[in-house]
Amino acid sequence: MSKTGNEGSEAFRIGDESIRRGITRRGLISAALGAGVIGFTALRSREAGAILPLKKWDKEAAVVIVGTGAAGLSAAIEAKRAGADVLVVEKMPFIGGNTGISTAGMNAVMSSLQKERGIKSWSINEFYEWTRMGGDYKNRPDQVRIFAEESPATVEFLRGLGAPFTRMTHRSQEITNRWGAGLVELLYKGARDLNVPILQETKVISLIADPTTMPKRVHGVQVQDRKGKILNIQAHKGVILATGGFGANPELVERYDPSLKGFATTNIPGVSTGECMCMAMSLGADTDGLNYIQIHPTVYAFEGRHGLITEEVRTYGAILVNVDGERFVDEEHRRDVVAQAILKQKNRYAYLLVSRNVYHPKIDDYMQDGFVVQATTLEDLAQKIGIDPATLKRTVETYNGYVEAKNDPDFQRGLYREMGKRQMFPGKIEHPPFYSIKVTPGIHHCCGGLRINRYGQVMDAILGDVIIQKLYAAGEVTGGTHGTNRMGGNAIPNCIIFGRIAGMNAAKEKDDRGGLSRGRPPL
Amino acid sequence: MKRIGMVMWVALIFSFFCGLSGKQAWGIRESNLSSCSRCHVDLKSVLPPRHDPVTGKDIAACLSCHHPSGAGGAEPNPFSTRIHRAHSKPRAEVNCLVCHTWVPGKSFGLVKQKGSLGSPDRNNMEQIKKIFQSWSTSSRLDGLHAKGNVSCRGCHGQKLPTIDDTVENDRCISCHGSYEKLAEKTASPQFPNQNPHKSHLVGLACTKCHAGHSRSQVYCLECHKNFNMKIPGGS
Repeated sequence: MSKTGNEGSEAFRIGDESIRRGITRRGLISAALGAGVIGFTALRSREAGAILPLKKWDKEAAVVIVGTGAAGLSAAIEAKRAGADVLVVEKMPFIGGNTGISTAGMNAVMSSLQKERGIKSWSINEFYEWTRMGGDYKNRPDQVRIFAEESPATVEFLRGLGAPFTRMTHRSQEITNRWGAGLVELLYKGARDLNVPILQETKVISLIADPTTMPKRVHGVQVQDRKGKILNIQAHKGVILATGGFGANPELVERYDPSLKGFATTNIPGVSTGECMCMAMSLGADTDGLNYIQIHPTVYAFEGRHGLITEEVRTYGAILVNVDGERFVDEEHRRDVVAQAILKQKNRYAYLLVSRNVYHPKIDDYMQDGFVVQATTLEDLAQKIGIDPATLKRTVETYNGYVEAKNDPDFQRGLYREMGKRQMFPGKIEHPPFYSIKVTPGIHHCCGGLRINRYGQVMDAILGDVIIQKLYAAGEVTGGTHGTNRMGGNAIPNCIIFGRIAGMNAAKEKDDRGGLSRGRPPL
Repeated sequence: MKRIGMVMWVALIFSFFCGLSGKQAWGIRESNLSSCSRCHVDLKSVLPPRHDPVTGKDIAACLSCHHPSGAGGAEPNPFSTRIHRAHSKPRAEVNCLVCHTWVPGKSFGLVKQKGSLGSPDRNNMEQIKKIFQSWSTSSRLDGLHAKGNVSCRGCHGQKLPTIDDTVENDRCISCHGSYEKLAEKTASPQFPNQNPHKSHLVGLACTKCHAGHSRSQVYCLECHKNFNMKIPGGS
């Protein structure tokens, strides 16, 4: 309490000169803005929530997009196609952010491809219902409705960019055979073919906004470029935040879910740190479900290394055993259920157990990272990882018996995933070599974030249906789609769908070039 | 005998440079410096064997044939590289102003040539000299480029770089080939997913791993600590 107060008053003395002048000149423009913003300045050296519009700008574009993950690049492609000149800024030295390391399994239903290939698909309604149920109905119905209905168009969008769609089921689509990196390459190429300029290693340090108008109005962003120079970029039609979640920022994770203090993260260090979301909040943006932070059940996070072990390892047939060598959960249950089950085990970790016949190709990669223990017999493996060999052998034999009988009386494997219709058994754990990966849950996805409307506009926290003018958001930085728990395969379509919506609508905004005419909300 | 001969030889060279060092240490301004013949009494002895005879005593004589290119391309420039390396090696640190003109903070050019390559002030000049030394001798990327006859311009363009300068990917790619081509070169037959030029870090800035004037470091290894990867200029 006193700490925050001190930081605020300290900041008023050392705060950015322009902010202080702004406050005295315009009266107390927005005390809330001032306190929040300047507090942030004090904490993060040059970062500020928002600063007032300037007379002189270093760069300009119609639409300025922050972030180059699936959401940012999709927004860039759509805004450019709609005729707006686009400028993309990316704080990292590479393109794609966490999209690049995702498995990029994308849920899509009723697509042209599923029809062409004769694959039975969920209906739009089934997809809607599953997404709502998966999020415990805490997600916003109108937003999930758009999400489900835009599904076929998303597949068309990616096909138009040349996506091969290498594998698909009733819901999950493998867009390319190179996981998330393939998707990023596809979107990056799409953006480059349209000559969208992307400034890498260029970090937004504050929003440039006018909080005196009602609704409030964003004018641009202040960035620090790769040479360390501060640039003010004017956005004539709008700014789109596609900055991802805050899973790599322990301070924010603890702020919104104190129970996750000290958890490992599956996010690339430094990528999803949430500062742009905080800037928007400090300007007055509303949020939705910030404390719904999803933990991924299976993360290797030991001996100073960490990496996500994809859930597909389990859908391919891996079982989970605890340090006593016993199974404890339906391996294919909801990720929050599996994660909580692991946390209840001794030492809060478990082992994924795989044999050659149910091997997932990604285990190759995990082996190179040194996450995998391998042996030719189960007994050897048990000894290597310190489990009682006899117990492990008995567990595996029992499980193999369940596979044979297609009935798992202990945990009903796969019954949840198959909508209660039947249990699922990909295969026995039988052919050597055997592999094990030690796993513990880690912070994965921020289900909540900025509240947006159906046009992708960021909403003001004040009562009533008020937007923040010319500020858009898409992807993991937003909330509302996933509720308490994101369904596997729903992140990528959420990014692409709402990225495209934000891009299209930002391009439709009134261009204010040549003056400070205040644009109306579009549509 | 051999040893004594060598010692004598070293002593001779040492005394030669000591003689120079008083007046011709780096960066000390002096009038009437610009003659090559002050050190190279017989200019012919430092020229390649079949070089045409040179008339004239300063760098302008060279530049009449070795035109300083104004385009600032990335291609190798053997003349510039050789003459800079020879004169910026440790113990051969010839004053820049033998060949260059410099008004601190205003201009930097070549003797008897029009045009300026930038406006370094005294601090910038100190930095440039340090970097020149690194470039002419180090085992970093700058030294490796020097060996390939690539001087500052190859990476930084025509104007003298400022201290915050960095290099964009397009510049590297113009000589080294696209990411796809580089990925072929660095493909690992044993671990196909361990390719620094074809990874989940799409369009990674070259400079993230390849540092010009400091030790190059493989960015992959920050997370994938088990990977066995090497990088030129990384020792």
